[in-house]
Amino acid sequence: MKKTNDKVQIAKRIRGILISVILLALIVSLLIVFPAQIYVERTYVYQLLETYVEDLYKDSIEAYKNPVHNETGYAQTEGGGSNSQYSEPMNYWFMNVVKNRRVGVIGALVIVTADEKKIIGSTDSIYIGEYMDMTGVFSDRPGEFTRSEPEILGEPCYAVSVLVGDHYLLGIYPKEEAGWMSVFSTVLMTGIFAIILLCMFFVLRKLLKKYVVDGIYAINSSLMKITEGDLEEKADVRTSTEFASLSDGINVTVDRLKMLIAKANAKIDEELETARMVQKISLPDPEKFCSSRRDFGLYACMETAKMVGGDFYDFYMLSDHLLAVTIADVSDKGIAAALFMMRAKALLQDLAKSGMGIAELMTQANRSLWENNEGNMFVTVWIGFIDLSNGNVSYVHAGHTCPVLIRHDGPVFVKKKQELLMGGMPGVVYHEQKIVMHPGEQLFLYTDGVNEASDGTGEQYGNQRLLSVLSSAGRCDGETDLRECCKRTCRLVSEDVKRFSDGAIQSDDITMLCIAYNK
Amino acid sequence: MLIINTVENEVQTTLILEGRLDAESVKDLKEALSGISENVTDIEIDLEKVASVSSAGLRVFLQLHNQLNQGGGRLTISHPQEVVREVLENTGLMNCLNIVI
Repeated sequence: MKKTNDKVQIAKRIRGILISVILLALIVSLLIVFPAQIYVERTYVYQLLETYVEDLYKDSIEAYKNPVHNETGYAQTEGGGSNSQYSEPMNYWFMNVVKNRRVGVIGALVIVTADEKKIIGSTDSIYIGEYMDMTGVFSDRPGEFTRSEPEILGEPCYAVSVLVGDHYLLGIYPKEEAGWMSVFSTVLMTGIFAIILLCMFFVLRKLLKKYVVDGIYAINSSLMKITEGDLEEKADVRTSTEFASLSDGINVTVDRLKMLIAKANAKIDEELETARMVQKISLPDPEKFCSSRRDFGLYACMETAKMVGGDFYDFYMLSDHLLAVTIADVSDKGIAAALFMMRAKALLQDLAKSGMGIAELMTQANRSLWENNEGNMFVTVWIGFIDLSNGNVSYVHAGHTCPVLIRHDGPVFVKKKQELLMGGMPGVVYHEQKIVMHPGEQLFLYTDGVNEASDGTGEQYGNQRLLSVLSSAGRCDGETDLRECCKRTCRLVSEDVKRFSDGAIQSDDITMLCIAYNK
Repeated sequence: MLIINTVENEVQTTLILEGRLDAESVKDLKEALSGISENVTDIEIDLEKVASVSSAGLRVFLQLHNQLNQGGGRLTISHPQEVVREVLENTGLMNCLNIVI
């Protein structure tokens, strides 16, 4: 989805750039073509005029040489020179000659008398009789052709003039007419230019697409894969040296990144290993706990998942006959959970050892955990005080999994009132509950790593499997080593869970604590 | 995988969730919640199509519950499935959160 958007974006941008280049080229071509066109047009018109004026000039030289008789009776006797006596017959000759000579489509030939600057003959009769007073238009030297751009009868013209005898010969071409020619050809030329540019546009686009855009797409798709976490992806575009170098650069960067990540991971693993160790050390060792006592035995174990979790168990004597046991599970995983776990564990033990009642200590502990709990973490706790003199168990059940009491007639869940987990809400008041353990019975505490263990297909181990495996746990009566008996129970469950999981990744800590009571 | 549909009316904003609310997908829920205007006091989270809720999900519920409570509003969790209801019961949240079966 995102990828196509990117592609469209790139294509749009390239199209935009190409269009602006074309527009710029059009503007530049107009700026160049128009003045060029005017220059060409002027040169062309002057040459045209000169041809006609030269022809007339040659003819008129001949006419001056060979006198012409006209109806007025004047005769020309000698040729050449500028003699006013030839004016009248020549006037007449010119008038007739220029009448039929048109320059190009609209240009005209005009004869002006040298003395009065009066137009005496013209292709267009409207000029006849007008006076011309245009300095710069005419040259006084006979036979010298002068180019100029005078206004004749208010109309800007191109003009070529030459002096012969008593007459100026003048070829004129209205600028406006020449201008039309020029505008037309400018448009034509611009059009051709535009078509050429358009062809260039398509060719260029095709080339751009082949050598640049496709390369960019390929690089981009590689980058996208890398961004999504596939560090095995290699950029490999070799259509040009630039792309090859870009590909190599990306690959080198990714390789380096991979190395750094591996290094960082190793360091994190190392630190997590340390954290796990510290966590483990903070838990009491069941093997070293009251091993000389015969009235009870306990065993605890914790199989950590890959991440440092927040499970913990705790046990300690509050007095000679009062055993405190705790099992708990902090929400979330990682260092933060482990730290919260340490805090909760120390808090509960400190309060318990201060002689506080079990319900009150939980209420107090919840208050402490709630304060400064920015991460909104919580911990589920099952805590019990076991009176070893009579088997009475006082406990508080704060949102934890239900323990199982393995009675002589089979295992049952200790499921009465379940109260709220700790640290999640202020002002929770916990209540003490009671059960009685009979000699030979075991109390099995565990975390949800047990009953929520998954077999990889989403199926959970569940309570029923737990009950059924515990029903096969042997009784502990008559055992001399009660700890061994508890250890067997824990192993039984642990192995059953492993069998169930069948190699699926263990996602949560599996923690168990088993207490056997014998009066 | 978690799909979140947000329905807003004058009274409250309802988030209808579908899928699993676990450590991974809880980020999506947090993101959806952060998109809700601060003026909204009442939020309902509909769990009818949610197959499981992990402790990370419970944390969000608790956090939101406390946050809305402070502002005089309330969080309603509605229609949890049997499995989810069990989790809510086991953690004691059934009685503390405002849950509509």
